[in-house]
Amino acid sequence: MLTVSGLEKRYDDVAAVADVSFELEPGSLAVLVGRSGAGKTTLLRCIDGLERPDSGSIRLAGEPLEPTDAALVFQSGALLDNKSALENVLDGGLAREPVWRELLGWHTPAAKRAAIERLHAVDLAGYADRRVGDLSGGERQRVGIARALQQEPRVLLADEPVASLDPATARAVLERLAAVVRRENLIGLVSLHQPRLAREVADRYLGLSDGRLTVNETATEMDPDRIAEVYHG
Amino acid sequence: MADPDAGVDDRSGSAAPSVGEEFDRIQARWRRRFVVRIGAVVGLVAVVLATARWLGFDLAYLYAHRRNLRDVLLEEMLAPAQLWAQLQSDGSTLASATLETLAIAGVGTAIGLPLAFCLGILAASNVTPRIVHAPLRLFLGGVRAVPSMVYALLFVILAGLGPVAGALAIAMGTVGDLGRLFADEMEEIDRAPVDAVASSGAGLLATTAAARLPQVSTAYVAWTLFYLEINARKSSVLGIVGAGGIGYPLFMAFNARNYTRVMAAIVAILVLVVSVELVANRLRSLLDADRRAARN
Repeated sequence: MLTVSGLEKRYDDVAAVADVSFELEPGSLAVLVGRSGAGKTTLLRCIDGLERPDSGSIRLAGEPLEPTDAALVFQSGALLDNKSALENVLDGGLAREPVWRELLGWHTPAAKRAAIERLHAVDLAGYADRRVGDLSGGERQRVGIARALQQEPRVLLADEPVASLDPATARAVLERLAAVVRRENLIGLVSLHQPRLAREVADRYLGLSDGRLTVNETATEMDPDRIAEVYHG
Repeated sequence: MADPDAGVDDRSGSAAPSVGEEFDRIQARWRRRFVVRIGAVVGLVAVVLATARWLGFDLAYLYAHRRNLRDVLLEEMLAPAQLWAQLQSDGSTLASATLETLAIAGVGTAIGLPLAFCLGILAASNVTPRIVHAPLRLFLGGVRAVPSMVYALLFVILAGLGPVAGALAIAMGTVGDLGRLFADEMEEIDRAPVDAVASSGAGLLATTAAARLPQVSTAYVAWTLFYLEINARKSSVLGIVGAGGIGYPLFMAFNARNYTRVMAAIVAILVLVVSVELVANRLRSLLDADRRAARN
């Protein structure tokens, strides 16, 4: 169980995230909805450990969440174009490996095999030695998911992972992400700007408005009109 | 549930390999790559060693004569009392030469900068057609190929012995190096804002002013400050060929084997270079602060 309590993050005098509390179960995907600037990215970055919250706590099974336990899939993929898909995925395991392995490109056979399995898990079999710069948007995003999985996280976060993709590819990437979360019993939290797509994958909705949590409901409880309200104010 | 990716992304026509097959293929390829890399490193080291030997590098000789350097360093250059006395007696001459060095660097950079700016922009392949940027690239490469010391010798013929020749030599180096860097920086800009402005019907000059320069201005200022630092270092040795600055007393002291005076000149150069670097760093941080303030 991921427990976020009283989380607050301020930039100068502006509260990007204010008194946010919620709990998420393993094996389920929560969709974070809200208008641009509502605080979704800041919340995800706080959980991932990229930002230090001003107050509040983030706990996983009662213990403070370690940065290695949470992996983030970025909106733009944040991949290195001149590396192969396999090399990008291997970067996800850097926290567990000595730096010299990365410098010499001398990864263990086990790490390489695991990385190839991650690529297969996101339906990129045969892509290991393809240069990421040559891949399509949907393929790149799935390499980003595979990289996050290589971290062996218990919490999988994604910040608008399908924002720049066409509707069909966006649906494919998101369904793949949801399948991985459920199969590997991860705690998934994804921010989305597409209400229709959100309805297809969400087990729970979290809605942010001006940094405050205004929606926290399961998919079955959630009235679809309320999602639209979150976006349109 | 049907495969959600079917028909979405481009896939290779052949059947997808299993994890084991792909792992074996990758292992074989990475092993080959590793052997090639090791071979390249070993080959490179062998070439460097052979070249050093050809140059006459002899570690045994250097080790046998280590006492010469140690004696000069400890007894003349790094003897605090002698160095202090030298700085006191020679202070005004060295200070004047140091100021002259700074002036050479400053004036040289100021003369070279506008030329580097214009030529650098025109030499960028995303600004001008090939017929313009290709010869300009070649010209900048030619200017860069000649060391500042050689320019100083040439300009001594034109301007006579003294700092004017030095400033002109620094200006030439600035045009070549900074011009090339400006062109490279310009070629890295985002094309979208340029297209947006150009689509309004704006000409080359207006497009450059409105969409290209704002993307490179920060980098250009940073490179210019960095070059001011480099030019301060370069200027400090131009005196060796009679082009003014601290290099002249340094060279004369070497000829006279007055190593304490050599050290005093080195101290003056250190003070100059570190001061210029500190000022440049301060200017850079002020610019950063301005940019941050403008964003908020």
